Amino acid sequence: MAYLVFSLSLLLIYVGLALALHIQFGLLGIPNFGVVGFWGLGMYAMGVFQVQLDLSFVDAIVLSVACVAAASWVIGRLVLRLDAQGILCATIAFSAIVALLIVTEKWMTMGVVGLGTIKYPVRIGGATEYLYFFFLIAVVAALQLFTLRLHKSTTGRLLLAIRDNEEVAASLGKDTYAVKTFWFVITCIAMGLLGALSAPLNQFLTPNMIVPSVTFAVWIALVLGGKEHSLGAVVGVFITFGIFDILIETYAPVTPELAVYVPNFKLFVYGLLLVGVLMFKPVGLLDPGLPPEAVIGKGIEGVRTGVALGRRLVASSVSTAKTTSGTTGKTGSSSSGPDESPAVTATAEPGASAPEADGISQAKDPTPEKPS
Amino acid sequence: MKLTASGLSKSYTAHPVLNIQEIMFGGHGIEGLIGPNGAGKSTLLGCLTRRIPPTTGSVTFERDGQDHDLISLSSHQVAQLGLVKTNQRIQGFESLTIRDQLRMAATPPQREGWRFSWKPDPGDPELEATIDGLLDRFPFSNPDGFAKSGGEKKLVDILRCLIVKPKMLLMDEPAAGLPDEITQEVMGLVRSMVEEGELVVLIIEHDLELIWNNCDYVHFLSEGELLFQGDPDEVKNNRVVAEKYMGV
Ligand SMILES: Nc1ncnc2c1ncn2[C@@H]1O[C@H](COP(=O)(O)OP(=O)(O)O)[C@@H](O)[C@H]1O
Ligand SMILES: [Mg+2]
Repeated sequence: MAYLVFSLSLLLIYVGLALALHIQFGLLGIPNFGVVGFWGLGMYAMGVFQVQLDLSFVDAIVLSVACVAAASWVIGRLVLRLDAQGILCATIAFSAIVALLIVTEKWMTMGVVGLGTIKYPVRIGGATEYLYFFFLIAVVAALQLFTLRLHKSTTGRLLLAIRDNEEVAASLGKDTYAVKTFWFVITCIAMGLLGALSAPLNQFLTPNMIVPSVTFAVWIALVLGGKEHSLGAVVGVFITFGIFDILIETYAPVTPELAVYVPNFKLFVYGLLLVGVLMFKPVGLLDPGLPPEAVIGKGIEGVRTGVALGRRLVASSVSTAKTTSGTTGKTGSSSSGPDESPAVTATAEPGASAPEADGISQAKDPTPEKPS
Repeated sequence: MKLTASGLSKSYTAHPVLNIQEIMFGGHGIEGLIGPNGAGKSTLLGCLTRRIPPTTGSVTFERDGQDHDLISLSSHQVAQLGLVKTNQRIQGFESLTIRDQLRMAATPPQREGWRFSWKPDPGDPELEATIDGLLDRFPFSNPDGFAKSGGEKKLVDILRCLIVKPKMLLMDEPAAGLPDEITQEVMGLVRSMVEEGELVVLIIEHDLELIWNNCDYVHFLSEGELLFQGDPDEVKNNRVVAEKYMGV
């Protein structure tokens, strides 16, 4: 259970990162390929302030965010007048520098030894992780709400105009460089804040968390979901991280021998999905013109059909189990044993439909693998 | 309103495309700028509005009795002073509807700051009325949709520039790509605004009828140099202009 909360918390962090990237790239056209740099800087700053300087949670968060703000302002000044390739290279380089400094500056970061333990803001016994999870929900929901509203504002319209044609926007009197710098810094701050909030989640920070695959996971999710749509980030993260890192890694009945292949299989399917989307629907699953209300409606409909499908699957498997009453029952009980909800045990098939994970109280594979 | 450039030159990798001793715009209501293709007309307009950095020279914009050195400014500051240019090449904002492009152009920057980023566009009734007026006057297939044809995009470009209420408008080949009756309508609107004293205009055009019919003063540019200027009749009858431009 604790592992599930951890996974879901991480999923929220990814949704937040994808939302920030959506504003940065989807609305403003800045191809930031150094997401992990801003996130990682926030996370490690949080660790250093808490562990080395023994600051309180709030003080450490404020200072970490200030560090990220300063770094992103400098980066913005340096790169935002460059073209897309320039920005791409510079932001990748920035994240590489952050990763390198974390390894080399041992006096501060403890290098490869790792930095810990980072405390939760409040500890209430077994409820700590849950409380923190709800806190993360609130933060990410606020970010999502802001994004939805930004789309309808004069500011959002200006960002789109700058993305479409910066030169013409400037020729109409818009200070495009200042606008880009401001929103680049704000969205990097969001990434840094999510990093700082990830620190207590991970408890113990190691340099191998600061790897480019974080950046790629965020990018793939956003591009899949729809980079220009206000809900593309959520949808994309649920399809990638949600299905693979949570549903399949946790609930799919894979044997330990096969489990080794899951991460590779995951990358393979990500790649396939990405190529498919880029070939057949380059804007991503969600069309920018689709109103968010319609997407939410469709989502609810999808979950309903998923639940119905699950019910039918259960019903049929139960009936076949009754008739054959054989021992071949791979479908259910083998791993979870006498669990309270039979609906869920049935959805544990590899291709299982909706993320109906509510009733599950036991993660199948409890080895708490390090994320990154 | 006076726009003066002196010693203005522009070279691309040692290849000079513009070399003007002294030129002044704004003394007449509507002025024309003509010359063969590649004469450097668009380059001149680009240098004046800071879209293109000139190699040498100075540009001064006099507004309300105050001189502004444009060379030290950036493109958006030039626009905020009231000097705005329409584009020869079709350029626009693909992800904004026609109406939103006009709204965006007319919304002052201070109403697009972070304080407004989580509020729905409050909408300015006066601006909406202006936009409705323009969209009634110029027929778009769907003003609440995206500009479709090249002509629609070109027209949106011109309307975008008009709605920001410039003091001086530079128009780079406005008739190219527009149907004749739309060009007439645009020129009618521009003329009425000039007569009201709202702005002065400089037009680059190859459609000489349009120049002769609308302009009070015409500049002739060839191979980057200002060869002649005068009122339309003088230009029409000038030997150099005839040889270099109309003769061919
Ligand atoms: N970016 C550029 N690089 C090199 N040469 C250019 C560039 N832009 C324009 N030119 C050259 O400058 C000359 C003038 O171009 P332009 O100002 O567009 O002429 P006009 O608008 O009068 O037709 C042309 O010979 C053109 O080839
Ligand atoms: Mg031209």
